[in-house]
Amino acid sequence: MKQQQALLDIKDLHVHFKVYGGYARVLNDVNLSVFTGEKIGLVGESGCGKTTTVKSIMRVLPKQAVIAGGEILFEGQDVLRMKDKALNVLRGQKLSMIFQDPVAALNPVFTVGKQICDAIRFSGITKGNNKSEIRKLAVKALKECSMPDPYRILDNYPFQLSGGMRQRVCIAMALATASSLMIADEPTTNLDVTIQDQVLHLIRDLVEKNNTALILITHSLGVAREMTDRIYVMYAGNIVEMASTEEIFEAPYHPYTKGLLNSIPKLTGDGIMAGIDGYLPDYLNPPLGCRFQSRCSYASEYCGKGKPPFIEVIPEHYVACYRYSESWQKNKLGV
Amino acid sequence: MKEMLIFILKRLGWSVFVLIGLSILIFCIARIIPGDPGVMALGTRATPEALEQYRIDNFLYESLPRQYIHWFEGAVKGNFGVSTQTRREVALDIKEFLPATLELILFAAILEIVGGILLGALSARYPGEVIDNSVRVASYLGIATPAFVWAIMFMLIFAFVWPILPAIGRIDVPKPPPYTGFLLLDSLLAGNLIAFWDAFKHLIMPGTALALTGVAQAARMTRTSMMENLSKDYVGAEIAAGIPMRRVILQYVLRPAATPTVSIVALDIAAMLGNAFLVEVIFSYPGISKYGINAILNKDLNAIVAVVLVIGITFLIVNIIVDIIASYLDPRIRLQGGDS
Repeated sequence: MKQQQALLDIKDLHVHFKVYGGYARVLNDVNLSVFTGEKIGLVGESGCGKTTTVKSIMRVLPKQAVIAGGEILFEGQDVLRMKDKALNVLRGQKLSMIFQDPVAALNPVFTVGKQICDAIRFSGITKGNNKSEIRKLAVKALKECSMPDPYRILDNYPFQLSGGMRQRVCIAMALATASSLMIADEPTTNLDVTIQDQVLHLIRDLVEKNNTALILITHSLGVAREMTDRIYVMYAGNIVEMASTEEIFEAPYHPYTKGLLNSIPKLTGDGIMAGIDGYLPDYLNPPLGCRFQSRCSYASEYCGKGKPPFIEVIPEHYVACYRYSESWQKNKLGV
Repeated sequence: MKEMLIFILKRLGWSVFVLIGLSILIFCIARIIPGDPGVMALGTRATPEALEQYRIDNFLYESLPRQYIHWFEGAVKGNFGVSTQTRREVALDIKEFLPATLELILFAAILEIVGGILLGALSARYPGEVIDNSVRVASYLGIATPAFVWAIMFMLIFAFVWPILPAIGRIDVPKPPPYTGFLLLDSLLAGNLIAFWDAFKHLIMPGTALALTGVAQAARMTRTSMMENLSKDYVGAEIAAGIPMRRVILQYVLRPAATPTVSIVALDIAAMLGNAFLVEVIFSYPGISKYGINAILNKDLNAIVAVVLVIGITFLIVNIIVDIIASYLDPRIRLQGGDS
């Protein structure tokens, strides 16, 4: 996997938010790469910067966000330095995104058909403005999302559809313009439990069929386990651990990842799970060094000294934690 | 299209009931307010016999329901009685004064919608920048300043200090033949461009004075509702789908954002039918608002009832038009709440 060039490569991304009283340093040195056809999970608790990371890729951050440093290379081109026109082509043809809330992600006053057709039209995948061809593509996309009666759906307004149907429409919209990277931002959080599974399967089948890479944001580890090949664990604007999905579940290294896994309720378990004490740090005045130290039971004076290095503990398994750095040093020095 | 037709017919059906209710209400109120209509009509020096005759002629001795029925029989035939001020048929007065005010209000309403939405959209597109801040300061000024203050200021500036606009009246050149009573329309129908231009110049000052408060309100409303819509996920989704920002703003955001603005302007149009009074007085503009207020001051019963009724009808028509526009802008109104 190492030899080929990554489809998406985020390097040292820093994103700050202008707030009253200064800048909130939300993303602090995020590194992430995705290879063609790969399914990536981005896991972490609410407010840890998962959505900010993917919105940076699409360049749809809110106005008060400032990209303070880093680069986002897509097929070798820096998305952050792209002109609007090139960016729109990229968004239209290569990238697509599914939002968390399908109710908010569809414009309430236009028909579903108009919205899908406009997405197809402006992506530039059809030559010129051939209405019937565009409509055909829209119907095809809806059919692939197993929507019954796609012709009728095209004339419906979003409010006439159920939540699950709306999310299918969003997926169809993302799918209609053949993309090489699909970003799904908690696509099932706002859906009925019975629909969640269907939608997840739909997404997985579609990306596998089209060899599309997937970044799936979720705070549900169960979903991540089922859907992804590789997982990035994020905490307070940092990537704290990265490994294949199997590894993360079998042998987590970072104290935060361990805490997350211990928080999963099990059907057989009794009572409420352990959870992790404490809260996310203040982004306005983040602690020096490791951002997890205040909640970490292994914290030592070492942790406040500087940002922990991202260490490859075993091949293809990286952790940002001093504990492993010490042992690594000891091993290396033979102490 | 069929659902639209049903929607309009429903609204029209309801309007009939509203109008009958309104006429009963105003008929009673006009007769409750103090003052003797006979004395007001004939003067304090009228003989008792003449007053007596007036009361009999106008059914003032009969019970209120009977009086109303007499009035209603006439009204259905388009006969609203005689005005005691102008000593003409009220219907003739209305035919003369209503189009003048409607023309004025239409001018003001167009200014409100176009100006308000344009300024609001500009403001929302560049929040926190110079243009946004100027629009916001100006709109505070606009909301805080009543129309008659603008009217007097305009008159001083554009008719006295720098006389480029006519100060009073509707038209200075010979009037075009009155096909509709709307001077702009009549002069166009007659192919008389000189009259058209002159009538238009007469509309600019009173129309703008009347509209400014509304423009300011509409601009603020549009800005707020566009900002709100711009922060919604669907804007992100549309941009993420590769649709250019300009198009997203001009089409996808402006349309849902314009709905509350249209409602605000509709309310303002209704209010203008009454508010036009001071502006009409200042510019000696022969409109129905001025006529109506004079009728109330002089207890001109027939004129009061007729004017209120006409304003009511106009209000209902404006509302139906606005509902149609709103349901075009936002299909949720048409498909979900069409019963109200």
